[in-house]
Amino acid sequence: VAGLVVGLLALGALGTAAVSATRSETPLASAHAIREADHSNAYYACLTAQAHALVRPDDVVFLGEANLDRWVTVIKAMGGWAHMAMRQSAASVAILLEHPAHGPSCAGETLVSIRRETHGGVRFRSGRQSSP
Amino acid sequence: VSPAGAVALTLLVLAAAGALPTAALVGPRVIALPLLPLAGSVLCALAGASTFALPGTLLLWFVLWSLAAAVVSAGVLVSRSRSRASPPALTDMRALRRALLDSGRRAAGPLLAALPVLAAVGWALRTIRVPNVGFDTRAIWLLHAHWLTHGHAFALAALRNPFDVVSHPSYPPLVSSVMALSWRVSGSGADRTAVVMVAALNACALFAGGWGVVEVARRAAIRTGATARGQAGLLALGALVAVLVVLVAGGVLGTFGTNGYADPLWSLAAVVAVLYGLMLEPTARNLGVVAIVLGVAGLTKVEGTAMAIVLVLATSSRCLLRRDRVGGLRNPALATVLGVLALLGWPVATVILGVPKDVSISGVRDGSLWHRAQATFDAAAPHLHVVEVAAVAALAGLVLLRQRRARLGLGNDLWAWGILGAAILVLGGAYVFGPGDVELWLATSVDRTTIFVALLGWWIVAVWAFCGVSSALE
Repeated sequence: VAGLVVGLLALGALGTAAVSATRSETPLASAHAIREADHSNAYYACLTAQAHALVRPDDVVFLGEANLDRWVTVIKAMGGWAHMAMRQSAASVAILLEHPAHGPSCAGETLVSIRRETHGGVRFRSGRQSSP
Repeated sequence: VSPAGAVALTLLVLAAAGALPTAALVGPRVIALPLLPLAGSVLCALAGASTFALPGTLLLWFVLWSLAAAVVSAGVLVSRSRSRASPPALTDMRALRRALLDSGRRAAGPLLAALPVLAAVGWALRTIRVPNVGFDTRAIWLLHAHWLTHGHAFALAALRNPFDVVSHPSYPPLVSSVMALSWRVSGSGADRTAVVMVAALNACALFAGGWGVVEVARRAAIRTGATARGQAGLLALGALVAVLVVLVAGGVLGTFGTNGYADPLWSLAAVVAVLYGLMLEPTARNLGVVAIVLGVAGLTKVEGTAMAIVLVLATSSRCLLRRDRVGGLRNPALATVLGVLALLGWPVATVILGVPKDVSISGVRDGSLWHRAQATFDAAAPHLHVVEVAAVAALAGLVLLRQRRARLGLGNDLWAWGILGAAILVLGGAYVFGPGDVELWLATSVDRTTIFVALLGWWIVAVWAFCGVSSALE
């Protein structure tokens, strides 16, 4: 009988935890969670599209971001397909993540490319794609 | 192709690749079904590692590894079938019908028990409806998967590039390889496809974990010589406990189960290894299950590799210590050496390939060891209340249910507690002795790194629950 009581108590603990787990998961699967995830996905899809528009396939990219969070954000958008370089001297284009005052942006942020032209000048370009 | 279609297609491809190895290692059992894609994912990880190290594409290496595994497995199956008693001749219709009926009757109960466990897995991972892509999923796994889709030269250059060191290039390749394979197989390059693919593997591992509890009940029914009604009762109780523990696991995993993180997969795989290697009898087929899931755990994350090595040592020690040497391992020492060497394959490969040192294991340590240990305890404790529940259940079980547990043929609970303790030492030790600011590190990871210990705690409770309640069913 004592063994049965131990078993029932353990089963009760499992049952209680299962109910609690079901309750704690409900907000994680809510419409609000879906909206937030959609927003985040649109932001990264927008940054990736901007990066594809600014970086040519044969480019070597230098990331001119000092802030680690912003560095990681840009890497998420283009680190999977672009050739990245640690040193600016080895790169053909530099990329920055900016907060434009107006114009198209990915949730308030835009990628900017700085490219050294063959005649010695420098060309700035901003991403044109936007997301909410 | 929709993400669901792409994932279904990739699961089929993985299952096809894993079919013969699973048949050779595990045989025709319900547990083999979730193991098919998991075994395929191990082959895919080997293909990913080969793509990093050698010329060729992921798809080419996946085909080559799958063919090699199929040839070896077919050889094992053929030699095993030769040494067995011959099945009834196809001309003996009566014997054939009887054999079919017998196997159908034997399979009916387990298949019925599998349905609620499957439904519980679906419910536990219902956050899949949220198109969530986790922070690390983007910064690590999707990034590595993209490298793999560009072929060997690009992938190796990215792996060696110090620029990419923040994306932990030395992390094992299973998750990113499977993501890349899902894109190659389906023609879809969507992040959502890759994330759902990982969730599908989590579902397989979670089902395998739930099924382990049902397997405990099936073994109990056989060992206690219960009547047909008693057997059905034990199976129903096993299914009930399995459903509950799967639902609890859903709560432990939270969004990590469906947002592409790798922590749930290695944790669930390691729990299955504890169930089949240290709780159930270490028969050859149960050790086959262990081999597959340890491959998954070891190739999924660095913590998984460390714990898989611990599990290899524990499982082979258990086999060595058993006097009856239940057919599992003919040479446990050799199996241990081979298992550990296989698990060290990827870490050694990263050194040979010149991958920059991981930021989690190199650099200057901030704060004293005591301060870091205290911070680690404070951060981890809220996630590990189950350890107290499991300890109470285990102590009460040790006093009141020890004989019952032995009668059901279950391994000593101390094995599972040894693994739980080792996990706390390995995972906690990384925070205490590792580099950098421990508070920041804990804040961004402790809810994931504690998943294995929490899950194992609940599975310990589940097995004691079955032991106790089943005594009333005999």
